[in-house]
Amino acid sequence: MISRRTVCILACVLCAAGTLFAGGGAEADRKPAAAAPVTITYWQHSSAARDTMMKALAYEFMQANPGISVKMEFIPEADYSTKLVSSLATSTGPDVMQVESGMIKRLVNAGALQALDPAVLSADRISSEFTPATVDTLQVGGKYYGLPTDMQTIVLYWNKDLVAAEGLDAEKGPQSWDEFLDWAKKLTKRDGDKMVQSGWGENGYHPEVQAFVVQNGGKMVDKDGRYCFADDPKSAEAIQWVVDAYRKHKVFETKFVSRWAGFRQGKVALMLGHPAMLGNLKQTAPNVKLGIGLIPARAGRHTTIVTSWAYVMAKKAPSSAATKWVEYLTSADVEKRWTLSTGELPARKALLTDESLVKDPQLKILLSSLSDSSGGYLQMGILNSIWATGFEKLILSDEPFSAVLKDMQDNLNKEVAKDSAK
Amino acid sequence: METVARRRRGLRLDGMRVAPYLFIAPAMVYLAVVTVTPVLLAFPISLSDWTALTPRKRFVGAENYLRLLTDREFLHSLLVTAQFLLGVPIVMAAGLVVALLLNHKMRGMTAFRVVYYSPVITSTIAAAVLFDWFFQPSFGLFNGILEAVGLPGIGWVSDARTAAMSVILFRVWKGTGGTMLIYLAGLQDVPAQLIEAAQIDGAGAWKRFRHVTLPLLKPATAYLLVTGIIGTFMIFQETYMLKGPLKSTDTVVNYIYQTGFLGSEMGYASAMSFALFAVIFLITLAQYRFLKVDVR
Amino acid sequence: MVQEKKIGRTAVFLVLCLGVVPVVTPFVWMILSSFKEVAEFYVFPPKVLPRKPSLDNFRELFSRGDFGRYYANSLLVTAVQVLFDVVIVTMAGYGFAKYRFRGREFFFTVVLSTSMVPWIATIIPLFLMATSVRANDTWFGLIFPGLADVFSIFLARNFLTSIPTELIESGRMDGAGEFEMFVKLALPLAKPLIAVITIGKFIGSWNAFQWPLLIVGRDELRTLPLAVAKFSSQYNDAYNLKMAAAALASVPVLVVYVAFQKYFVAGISLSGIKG
Repeated sequence: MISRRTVCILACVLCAAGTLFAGGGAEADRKPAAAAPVTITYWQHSSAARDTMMKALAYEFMQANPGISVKMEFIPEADYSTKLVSSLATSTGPDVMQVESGMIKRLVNAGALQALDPAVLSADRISSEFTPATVDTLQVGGKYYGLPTDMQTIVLYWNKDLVAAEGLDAEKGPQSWDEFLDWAKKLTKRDGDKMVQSGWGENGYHPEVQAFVVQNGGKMVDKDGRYCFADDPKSAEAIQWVVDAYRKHKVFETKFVSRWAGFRQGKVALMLGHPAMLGNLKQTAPNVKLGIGLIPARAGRHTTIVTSWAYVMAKKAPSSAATKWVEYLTSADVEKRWTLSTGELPARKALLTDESLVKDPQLKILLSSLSDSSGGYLQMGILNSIWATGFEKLILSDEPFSAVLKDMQDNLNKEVAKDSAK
Repeated sequence: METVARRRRGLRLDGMRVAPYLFIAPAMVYLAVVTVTPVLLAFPISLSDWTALTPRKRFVGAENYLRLLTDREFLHSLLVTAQFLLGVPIVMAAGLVVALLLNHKMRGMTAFRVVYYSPVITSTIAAAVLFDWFFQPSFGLFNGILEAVGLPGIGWVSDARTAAMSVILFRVWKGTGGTMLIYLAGLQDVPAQLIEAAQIDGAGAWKRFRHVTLPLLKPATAYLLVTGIIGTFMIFQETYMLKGPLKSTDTVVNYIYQTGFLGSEMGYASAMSFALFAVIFLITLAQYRFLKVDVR
Repeated sequence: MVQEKKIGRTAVFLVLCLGVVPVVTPFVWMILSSFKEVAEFYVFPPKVLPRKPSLDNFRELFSRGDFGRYYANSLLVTAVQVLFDVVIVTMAGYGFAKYRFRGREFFFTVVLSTSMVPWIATIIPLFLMATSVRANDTWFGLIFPGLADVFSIFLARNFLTSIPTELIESGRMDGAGEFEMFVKLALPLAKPLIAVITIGKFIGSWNAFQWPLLIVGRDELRTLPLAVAKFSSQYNDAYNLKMAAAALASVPVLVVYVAFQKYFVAGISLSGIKG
């Protein structure tokens, strides 16, 4: 039975809900501005370390720039693209945001971005103060549309105990391709048919493969920006080398263990990865004695690939204020603090030799990877997805190598063709 | 007296005529706003080349729909999704069995009911972490159990051949509580007298179940079958988290999401959504025609 | 007869016990894990018991995490949505079940069709609609799209169809109004239905993620699932916090479930074993 009391409670809740609804619209809390400072909205990938840092940085920036107010929103990293796309679609997006560097061309072509204000930060200054590999991919038509953040290269990690057990030099690590492959084979162990230890946990993660392509003298992309790695013999050769390690030399099996999980448990000996994994491994794999080094070299040069996101500005952003904010976030002082607290690499040349950063031997190695580096392609979710699916086919299926590679190239080109349409 | 009665009857009759519309009105208004209007908005989007990166759109007519006909990946995703239909009868049967067991007045029954519903309450994240370990080929629990009884381990989610089945296993575990709930509610509907009557007639337990209980559970079964099938075509979250190699677990919604949000082809994605709707509609219609299963 | 009863009941009890472990282990593991530190989540095979159980995770959730607010937000949103859902759905189910009226088939087909529309088809247009009326980042925008669950309308209709119409007709003879008949005569017989709807909607609203993700910008509106998602970042998956949050989040759901499941009263056992 529905008693009087229940009806009363029901009514109260409905009324409360009603007032919420009514108040909801007005509650859009644009603060009653006194004088009107310029307000810029900014979206940030959320992570514990970043969130705290960002709040402090925003505060300091606003102190130094009293005419500018920064409103921040923290977005869960995994759902960032969903939220970003929806907001761009409805013009409810922020003024400044982070995007994968590979997205810039597509966004510029769609008319969603504006270039950095040259009056605040000229193109000359950018190209001279930042490591080239970190900003090369951020320009379209000669103008810079963003500055780098969340920068990563590819370095080498190894399990010192497993390496030493094979009588290999656990302090130095493998230096050349041949040495690396040799180690990977020696460090792979099987019990009969079953793999019990993997020498190299590989799966074709694109910056790793791109590094090998570049080192071999190959090209991922031709001068018109179209993918050409299937047609270029040196590129195909490098990719074949990576695939052979899996299929011919059998240094890893995807059915054995997940790569990083396996590394943490001491079942995988060598891993290529981002510098940011260092912080993660220290916390999640305290039992693994970590060796860190540069990516193996083909001909004496440890050229690696830089991948990053970028701070970019929406078309509607107040140009000068937004550029100042972006400049601030990539200023030398902020980058230094950022590196020390999050482990992400700095993009400014000067910081590569900065005292406070270099004094940590592990960080020193990671920083040195930037000095011989090249900007990476495929830095967009969908491109990465096409690549990953294609590479899976290369290592897991029996389809012929060149056919699959050509297929990958075609699919990638179909995708990038969208960025210059209309 | 007569006149008053007639007048009152008249008024009540009016009330009766308007009443059903008033009863269904809130729901219809809600659906009109939340589903019908967006669908009407989505249709022109499906006829455009919208990237969703800016509000700018361009009309391209039926181009998107024609493209669908030759999109192999779309067809493949439909097949992958259809595989998951296997899970529907399994989760329904499991729910029925558990509901029958739980439909007793017994000490500790509340505890059992909580236990069997707990997978629904377990956060999907916690469940995914644990199942990720369960499914690990080399050090996972499931293969550990298989090997303990002398059977060879399998690849679970890491193997394209068994990935879909592993996802079904996860869905059955997580979904049994839900079907159980519906059957439990439905079982309350079975009048005690009918069961007793059957018993007096000498019918055994199985006969009583088949000829009395099961037919009376028909509405519940129909509901679960129809909604289960519709739900299967909307799978997204689990396959986003438990991803198999070589697109072995990529459902239609996964593909639509990738196309619209990652591939910046919201117009095409929209057309695909309409195609998906058509597929679901036809299948539900087929259910009604051939199996006489209906939510009516 | 008595002997048969006893064996029967023991059998049921045993079977139920057998199923307990596979079914409840993840839930128990989740609760126990909320007392662990992050590194413990990377140990293979996962340990069940925490090494040094501590309340640190919970402390961190509330101090650094602003958790209380998110919890309250979720409670508010869910409560409002469940309430509206029960009302809207039972009314609609009753209308379809107990009346013959012009357009009944048409409207029901509309309802059926809307249930087959995939969320991914409507989420962006709905978001467009919301932003065009400035409802983005507001309570209204957050709550409205979740006010009812269309599948429950079928459930309600089926269930209410099976309630004998005579019982309700008798009310009409006594001069009761239509709505009064609905509330005083039909609903009390529909307790299991209301229980199922409540439990189902509670869970649906409580765990809702896709729509809140789009519509919520300010922290003041953030609901639990959004807050928990923030604990994952590429290099720093705070499993410990996620488990603690999940454990706390399961409390209201459990409470609602336990409270409402008693409406599934075991009158008579139906597997032939009289209980």
